[in-house]
Amino acid sequence: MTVLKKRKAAALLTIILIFMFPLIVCASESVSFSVEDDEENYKLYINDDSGYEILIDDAADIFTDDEERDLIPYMTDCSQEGFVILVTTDDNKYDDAEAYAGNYYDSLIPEESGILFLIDMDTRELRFYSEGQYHYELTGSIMNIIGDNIYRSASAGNYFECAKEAFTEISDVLEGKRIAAPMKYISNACLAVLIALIINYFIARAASMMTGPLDSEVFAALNSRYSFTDPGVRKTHSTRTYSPRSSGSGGSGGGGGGGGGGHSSGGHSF
Amino acid sequence: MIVCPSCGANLKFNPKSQKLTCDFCGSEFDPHQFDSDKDAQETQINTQEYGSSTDETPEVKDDTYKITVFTCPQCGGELASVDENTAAAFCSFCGASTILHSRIAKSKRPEYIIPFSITKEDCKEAYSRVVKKALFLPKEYKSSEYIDGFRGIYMPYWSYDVEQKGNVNLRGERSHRSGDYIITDHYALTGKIDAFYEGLSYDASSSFSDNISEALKPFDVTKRVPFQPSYMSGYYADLPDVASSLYAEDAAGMAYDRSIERIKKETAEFHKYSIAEDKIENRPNAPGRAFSSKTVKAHSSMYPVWFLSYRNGDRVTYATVNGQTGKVAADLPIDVKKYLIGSGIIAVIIFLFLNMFLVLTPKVVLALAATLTVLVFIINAFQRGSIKKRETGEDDRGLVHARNRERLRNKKRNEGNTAGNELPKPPNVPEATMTSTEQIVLWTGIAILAVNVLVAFFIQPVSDIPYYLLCVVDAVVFCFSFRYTLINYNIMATRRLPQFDRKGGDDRA
Repeated sequence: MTVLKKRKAAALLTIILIFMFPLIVCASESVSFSVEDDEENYKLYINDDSGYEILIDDAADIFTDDEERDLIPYMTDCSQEGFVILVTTDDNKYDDAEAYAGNYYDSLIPEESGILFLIDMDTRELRFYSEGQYHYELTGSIMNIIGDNIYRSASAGNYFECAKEAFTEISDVLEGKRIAAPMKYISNACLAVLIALIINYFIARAASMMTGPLDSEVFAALNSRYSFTDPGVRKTHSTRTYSPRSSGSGGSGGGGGGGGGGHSSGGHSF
Repeated sequence: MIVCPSCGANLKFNPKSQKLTCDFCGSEFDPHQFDSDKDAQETQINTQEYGSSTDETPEVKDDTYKITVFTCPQCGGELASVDENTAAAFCSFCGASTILHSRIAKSKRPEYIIPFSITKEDCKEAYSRVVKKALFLPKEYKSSEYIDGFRGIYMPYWSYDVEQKGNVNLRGERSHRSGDYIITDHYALTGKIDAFYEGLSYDASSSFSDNISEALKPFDVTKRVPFQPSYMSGYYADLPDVASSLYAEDAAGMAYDRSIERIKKETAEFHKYSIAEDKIENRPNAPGRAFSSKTVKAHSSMYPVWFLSYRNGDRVTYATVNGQTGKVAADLPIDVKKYLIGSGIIAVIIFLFLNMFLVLTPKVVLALAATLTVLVFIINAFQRGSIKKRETGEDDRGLVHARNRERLRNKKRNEGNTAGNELPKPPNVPEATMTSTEQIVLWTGIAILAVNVLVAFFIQPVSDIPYYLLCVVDAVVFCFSFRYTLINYNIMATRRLPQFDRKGGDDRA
């Protein structure tokens, strides 16, 4: 009996392995990439499946070479629909992480679909910037949630963990998975209760308001007589007030730029 | 008591048929059929004429009618009835369930009366429709037993006649641009006005709150008829104790504004001019006004009101229905339990909505929590102001007038007696002053809000934790403050138990 059970278990395991093998192969293929350019702080890879490039520009030099290499699979997972860029800086000439991220992106791949993750050591901010397809999936709100989830690692100086978690969560969002946002639910619940209490107060006040009649209603319920005769108009005098016409900024403004899909941005300080 | 000529039973006024009906034999009679011999001489008697003859005392004639006055032993409120054999088992003013003391008296005949045309059933339906929409109203206010307590009361009103006759002088202007200058041409807009408004009404009883009497308006005074006591059969009446002069200027001012509005709207010759706002605000004869607007007569009148009071501890609420139009004006307190359940339901909807569309950063969450807390403080401050006015009676001109007159009477009496007696003071208003707990909540809240601003705009910590902690603190302060918001709301939606010291009559008494 025992031998029979063992054989059955072995057979089952074999079947499972046979079915799982292609999945394991596929999974390993999903992180396939090749090196295009490898300098000290600037590394360029390409996703062999999608053809999109993956760039790490570690100007602030906060990652070791090993860490950069280890980050590539996580970034590759995010590059199915566009470029993926990880940038660090310790000299932000804009003094604004969002401006830096936007300008970096636009100077490199303007209007191309992609996602950029900036670790700005100068302003101590984490900032995401997305364009094209990613703009629709990685909205500002989602980037803020990811920022909330990763800023503690950055604050603790664990930048590798921070970047790894960022790209893992981006990948999760792109695959349609939910990412943890506990504070979102807690704060929304609290706000909802406070707002509801206030709204109900105004509802109750409106329902209990004793409003008097309109003047027109009062006069409609009276006996009245009205006549106005001999209307006359006589000019008495004129006055003039100095009021210079405004100059310069008059006229309607020009139209805004075209659509182009827009971009999203979000992040957190650390 | 008005006796049925057919069977000798009591006749009561029937709002549906507008006749006196005998419940016993079903006979119907025209109300004017009774007591008609006094009509001719009494029509003029309760009319106060204004103008040159203001100070003249009208010729004294027998302008009275016999009533039974019921006085509440608890609040001193008085109700009159023409039915001698009736007994009042509760007080409509303070809600006390007690047998009211009664006495036979004579009262001045009002000049006009608007008879009830809404039956008690109609009144109950109208009230039920309104309270159905009051989601948080305690259930006892909706119970059929409570609603059945509506009592038909004729409320005393002064109805004023306003005359406007003579030249009109308005100021108009037109502007145009010339280079760097705006040129304004000024015009004198003239004409002749001949207008008359008959029946602008204001309540003449200090026991009838101004906010209720205003909310019940309008009464259609074109349907008023000369007063006959028979219209009161089956109903009660409140007694007037406010001078006719009190609202004379209000009536003239209101008529003035109406005519100005009509001149602007209906005179085509003036349409191209911008006419300076000339709202009168109760000063109809102030110099510089466009034309004269004078109250020429004040008629003592009785208007029909269905009245219901509910006493809860030391507070009372009133529900009233216009006995002519069915318009409802009622105090609607809230049941805190219902309120919280309702808020819970709305909170779920808001929560789902927020989750669908928004992810708020901790800074924004903090800003919102602080804003909501400040909003509650502001609401509480406004509530306190309203409560103070309401509880001291400041917002009720009729009541203030009656009190002042009583103070004058006491002063005169004191001058004749012992010197140094103090005048009666207006009632204390403990509810309107802040309790120590409330003050602690307020100051704590202000301190916390200051910390909010400090943290959010100056310290700006990296970690989210300080923001969320402050949000929690804000929420706690909000809840403490909001507790007072609900308490204040119920104070505003209820009234102090009234205390009348009525000596009766108007200023011509």
